[in-house]
Amino acid sequence: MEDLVPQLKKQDRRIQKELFERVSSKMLGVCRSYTGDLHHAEDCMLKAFVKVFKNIESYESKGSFEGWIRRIMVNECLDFLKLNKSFVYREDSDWEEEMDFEQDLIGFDAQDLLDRLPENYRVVFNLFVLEEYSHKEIAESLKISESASRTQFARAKKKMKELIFQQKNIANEN
Amino acid sequence: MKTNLEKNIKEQIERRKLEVSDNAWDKLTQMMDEKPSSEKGRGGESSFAKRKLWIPVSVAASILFFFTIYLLNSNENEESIHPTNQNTEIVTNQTTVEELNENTTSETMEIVETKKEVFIHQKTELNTEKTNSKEILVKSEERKVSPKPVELSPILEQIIENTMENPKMKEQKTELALQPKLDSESNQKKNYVDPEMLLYSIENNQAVKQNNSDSRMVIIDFNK
Repeated sequence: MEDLVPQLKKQDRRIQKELFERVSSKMLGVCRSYTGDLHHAEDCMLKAFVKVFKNIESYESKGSFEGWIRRIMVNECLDFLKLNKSFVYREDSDWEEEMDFEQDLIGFDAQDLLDRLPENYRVVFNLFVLEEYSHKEIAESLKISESASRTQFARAKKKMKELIFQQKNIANEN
Repeated sequence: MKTNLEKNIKEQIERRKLEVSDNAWDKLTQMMDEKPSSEKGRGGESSFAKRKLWIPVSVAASILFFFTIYLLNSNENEESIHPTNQNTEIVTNQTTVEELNENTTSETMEIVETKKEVFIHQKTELNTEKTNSKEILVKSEERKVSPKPVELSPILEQIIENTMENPKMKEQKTELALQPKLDSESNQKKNYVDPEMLLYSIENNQAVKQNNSDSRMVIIDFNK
């Protein structure tokens, strides 16, 4: 994919379309994991692609080109969530992290689980698990404290566990 | 360290590919074409705003410029007024002395003029913001009569009296009296009596006769 960069820097529309066709479905998946629905995910992805093409000169070929595009996608989604923010990142000092459970997710839709999480939990969970951000980086990007990030992540995992158990119980009853 | 749950979710999400809508590329090209025009519009507004900002700035700058020119002109005027007055005084004094010199030469009187330079520090206060102190050179002229005995004619006496009574000379003396050092010197000069002249007058007292009882001037007849 890096081979497209010189042509992209010339703002070649044909090459831009080629890049779009190569990565758009994957990037839509990334955006979908942050936003509540596919329509908003596509909006965010298109806005992010505009930024990619406009700011292609700032790409210095240091990291992977796909990783650079992905970061722009994630940032666009975070901006979208900030604009439509209806939640507060709470910090609980008495929060204890739940013990991890060794359940496999076979038969479970990961996106469905993410969608059923509260938005603040989902964002922190995605940044930590999918983007592999540290809690410090999450705190900086969301402008929250590091402990708040940890709390949200722990709560997200607890909620996810509850959802998995609920689904398993429903499946067993059936 | 990642848990099973985290790993499973990550794998599922990474593997997933979602189909974009058919007109997604058209939407994107439309957005890319719209952006530059909207940026241009914003640029136009900003340039207009900049132009609007330049108007009060340029007005303020021009006011400041004219005010500075006015101040400079007023300073120059004040500077030019004082020196011309002093020059006139000096010239007048010099003319008087020259006239005196002409008269005294005809009477074979030798007048030794020693010019003494006196610095008068004149502080000219221009305005509340700016104060200039200037040093103006004023030539004060002092006459000394040589010890050679000469007979002063009544005309010469009158000239000397007039010169002494000259208001400008008095003014000059007043100015000099402002400075304590000069004050003592001028007092000494007033009462100055040439010892040689005094000795000559004592030795030849017959040749010296008083003109008037009120006057301090004496007539010396060198023929006697």
